[in-house]
Amino acid sequence: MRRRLPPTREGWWFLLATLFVGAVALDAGINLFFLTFGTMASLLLANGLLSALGLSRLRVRRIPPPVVHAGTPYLMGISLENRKRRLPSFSIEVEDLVEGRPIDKRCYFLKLPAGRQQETSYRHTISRRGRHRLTGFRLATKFPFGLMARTREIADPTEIVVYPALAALPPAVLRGLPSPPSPARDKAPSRQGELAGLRAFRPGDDPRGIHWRTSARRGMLLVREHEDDEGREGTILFDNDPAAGAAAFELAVSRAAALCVELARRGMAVGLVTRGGEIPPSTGAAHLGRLLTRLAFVAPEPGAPPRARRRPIARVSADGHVDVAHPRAA
Amino acid sequence: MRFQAAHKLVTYLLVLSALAGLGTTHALAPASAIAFLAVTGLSFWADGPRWTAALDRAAGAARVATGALLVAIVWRISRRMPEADLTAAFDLVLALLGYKLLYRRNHRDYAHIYALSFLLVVVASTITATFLFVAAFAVYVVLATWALILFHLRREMEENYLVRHSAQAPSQKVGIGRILGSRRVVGRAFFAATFAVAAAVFVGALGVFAFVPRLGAGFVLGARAQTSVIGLADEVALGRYGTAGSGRETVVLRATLPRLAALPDDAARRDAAERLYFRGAVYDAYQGGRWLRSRRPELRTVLEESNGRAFIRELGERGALDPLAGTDRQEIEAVGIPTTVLFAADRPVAIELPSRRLGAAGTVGVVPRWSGEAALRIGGDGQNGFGDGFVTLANAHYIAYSDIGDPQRVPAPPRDGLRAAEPRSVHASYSLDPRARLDDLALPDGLTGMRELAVRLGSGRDAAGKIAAVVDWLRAGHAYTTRPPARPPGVDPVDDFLFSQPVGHCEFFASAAVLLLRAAGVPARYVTGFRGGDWNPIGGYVAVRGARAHAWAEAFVDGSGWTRVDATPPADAAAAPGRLAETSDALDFFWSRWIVGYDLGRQRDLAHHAWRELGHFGPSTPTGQFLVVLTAAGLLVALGLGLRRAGRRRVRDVPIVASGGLGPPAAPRADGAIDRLYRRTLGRLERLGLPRRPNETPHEYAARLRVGGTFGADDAFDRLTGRYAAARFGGQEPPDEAVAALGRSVQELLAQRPSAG
Repeated sequence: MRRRLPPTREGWWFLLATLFVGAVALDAGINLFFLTFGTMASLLLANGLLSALGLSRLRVRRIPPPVVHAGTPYLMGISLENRKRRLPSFSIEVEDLVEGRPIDKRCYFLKLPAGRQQETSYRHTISRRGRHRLTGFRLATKFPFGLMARTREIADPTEIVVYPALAALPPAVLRGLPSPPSPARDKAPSRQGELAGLRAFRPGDDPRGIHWRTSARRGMLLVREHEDDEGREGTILFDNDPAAGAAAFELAVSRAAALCVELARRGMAVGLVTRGGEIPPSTGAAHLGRLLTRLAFVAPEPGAPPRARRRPIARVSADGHVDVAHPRAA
Repeated sequence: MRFQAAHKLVTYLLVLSALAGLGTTHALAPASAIAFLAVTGLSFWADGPRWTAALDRAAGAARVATGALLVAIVWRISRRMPEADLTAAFDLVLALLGYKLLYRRNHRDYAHIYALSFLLVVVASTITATFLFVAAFAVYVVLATWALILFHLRREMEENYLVRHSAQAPSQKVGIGRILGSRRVVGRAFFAATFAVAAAVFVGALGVFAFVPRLGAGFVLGARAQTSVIGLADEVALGRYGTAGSGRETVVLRATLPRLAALPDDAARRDAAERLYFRGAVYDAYQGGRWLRSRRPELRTVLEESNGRAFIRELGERGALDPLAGTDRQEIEAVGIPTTVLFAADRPVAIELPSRRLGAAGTVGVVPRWSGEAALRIGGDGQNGFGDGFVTLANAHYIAYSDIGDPQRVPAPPRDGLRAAEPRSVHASYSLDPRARLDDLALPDGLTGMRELAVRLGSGRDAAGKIAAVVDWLRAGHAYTTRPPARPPGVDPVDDFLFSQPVGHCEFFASAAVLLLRAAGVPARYVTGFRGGDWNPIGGYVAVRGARAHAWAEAFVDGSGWTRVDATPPADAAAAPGRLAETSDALDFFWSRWIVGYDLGRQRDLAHHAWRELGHFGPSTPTGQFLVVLTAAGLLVALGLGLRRAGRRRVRDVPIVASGGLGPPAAPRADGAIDRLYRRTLGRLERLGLPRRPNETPHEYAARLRVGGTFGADDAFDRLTGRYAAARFGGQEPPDEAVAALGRSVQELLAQRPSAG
């Protein structure tokens, strides 16, 4: 926990004026200047002490947003609690720290009564996908006189997984994707079409699809997989070939992420195959989170191109080119 | 209470307390004060929307009027130059303050108001002479504390980022009016707590005041100087000046005499105080109704420094082995008269400056003048006191040693026309230098009638007899009045007083006595000072008011030396001050002694006293042992707390180690090229009047400038913003060459926009 107490711009002027009055008092021996000097010096001292008091016994925490995409503004909630018994805290600034440096946005709390908690948020944009580390907070106050800005840094490391930016998909690609289910089908989307086999139950699966007899026999939950006429399940094959340039690779990742989101929005169970890993198709917000997390950390990898067990619904090359399985004319 | 109302009220009270402080100086013109109060009242009530709009419409006229007023005041000040016209200077500040009060719109206007009010208080503190100032000052400190806190909060509200965020739309600043009208920001508890803060600040100020050593005077700026005062100047014109100081009832001098304080009761002390004479300026040359100093070398006072004291004698006098034996110590505060000459009871034998006694850096010293006078001078070293370049020090504090005799046995005026002083122990022998004798016998040409009268009065008498005869003759045929008649032009005023219009005040009696004595062959000189004083039982000192200003003669009697001759008949006794006046003066005395006159000597005395008091609790006594143990325990606890705090800080200062995982790429260097370029550009844009708002992200800021037409889409600033954000929050630090190229583009872009768009 680091503490600093630098004078503000006004504080520097005030400090200079104080020194000047003190020098005049000492030099000219004007006693009432000593009184004025004493008052000014005491104000500086009181500023230092009271600002320390204002920052004491404050607890700050973050309320992160559920999803953060690179390049898209998000709101980070900041909660500040005054754990002092009697004294309120005035004029508190809270800044998030990234690698020890404050983020460009500050949160301001005008008055935080004793024993109370307040929340606010700041808007911010992160340019890069991946793990984003917030290292702590910087609390600052210039209260009560604005002559000195006391700051206190609190270590509170937090990691945010920043999903890839959602690149706009070309219209041809969007047209080649399966349409969203009709309302009638929406009631039982996973029980249409020809039975393709059984697979392990995953969170988010419809319990009605559980094959109870086989599950009882094997001692694990298994659900039916259907071969949907409209392709209600699809795998995206993303070739994270290191041959591509960095910018093109990022575009490819963003398009793969956009495909994941779009297919999930259309009600499909989405899977992802990359060099070095595969996520089987599934549905639900948690599954979409797994896909995006994989894409948040995906890096170019040497080796053989990825292969899907089934025909992928879309294939994204490392240079950002997207091929869909059933392209349709405009 | 609504925040805005609280802030406004506190600000106005602060201004009024500054005005009250200024009012204690007597330098504030009543008309200015009334005009300022009227403007203040108008500005207080007239700040509704309608009034504000009306005032804004009249802003041009108000500026012109204020400007004209300021020009007039500056012209008034310049006319009085080089003399400082403080009244006009105060008018100037009040005019500015009034304008600011009328046109206070945001926190900057409030800051100006505070600065101007502080200026008033600071200047007032240098010239005030009454304890009432400290009351105004204490109120000012409390109000200033409140005002500064409220000002700070208001500024934070107005300038900072009270922002309402929404996930769908850009952040919106919350309207300032809503917060200023809030009743939840400040309340009773707030004012109570901040009052405690203000009290602590005031106590801190007193602590600094009490304990910062008074190291010196005049290292750089010189000591405070004032011009001399009428009646005590280098020249006395008879009938023109009758009083000293600015007011007859104003206390001009206070003297603490332990010998008086030792008398059995207040009645005796009052009686003794009435008999005192405080001697000041001495004049030896008379020319056509004026008393002057001839400044002849033989009349030069002789000063001898010893043990921090300046011993005073005149040419021909020889000091005793123990010059202070039989003398009375007087601690004198010259509060109402800037003293050129040091005043003391009777003829002072020695003068001592308390701070100088310690060998401090104070450069004020005692210097010799003429005819037994001594004076204060900046840089005075006792030897270099020639010339007229004396400065006068208001609120001078010094110690004098004189022989005032037995205060209970000295006959009171009017019978004290002649103080037949017995040879004093302070001088081993009394003789007058022959050249000085000639100077003190000099008479102007003419005045034949007076010469004949003097010969007649002195015929067949020795010096003492001649003195008695002159005093008796003057008192027998002349009347005392404070309103002497106009003397006919071309006639010597003393001659007119002696033979034509035998009424006058002390100056005429003293002048006539000096001239008659000289004509009768007795060396004599003219002395001004104060006769008598009021014993203040509350403060334990003698207060001398302006109305006590007096003139008398000194005559040289062989064997006795210089002897006081007061030929003025008794006037009606001055009314004794009432209890209220005594209390008020005692407070002023306290103020003068412990606030205005608090110097190194007083600090030393206080420390001495405290040490002596502590001496009662020596380490051998149980109380002393308890105090030693208590102090040691306190020090140990403080040390332990300090170490614990330092240790805790060290533990907390351990840097955060990044956890495993993929982690972000290296963070941009804090002083990276793109970071520096972006911040430099922000600074330039701010100077162009396009600052980035606290609630804006870099992209929002760029978008605002783009929408506002300041910059075009995808121009250099837009690219810079993108690069900066990518580096700052994406870890993509661009190569230095790219930053340099971008910097050139930004420079060209800004060069095309020299001012705010």
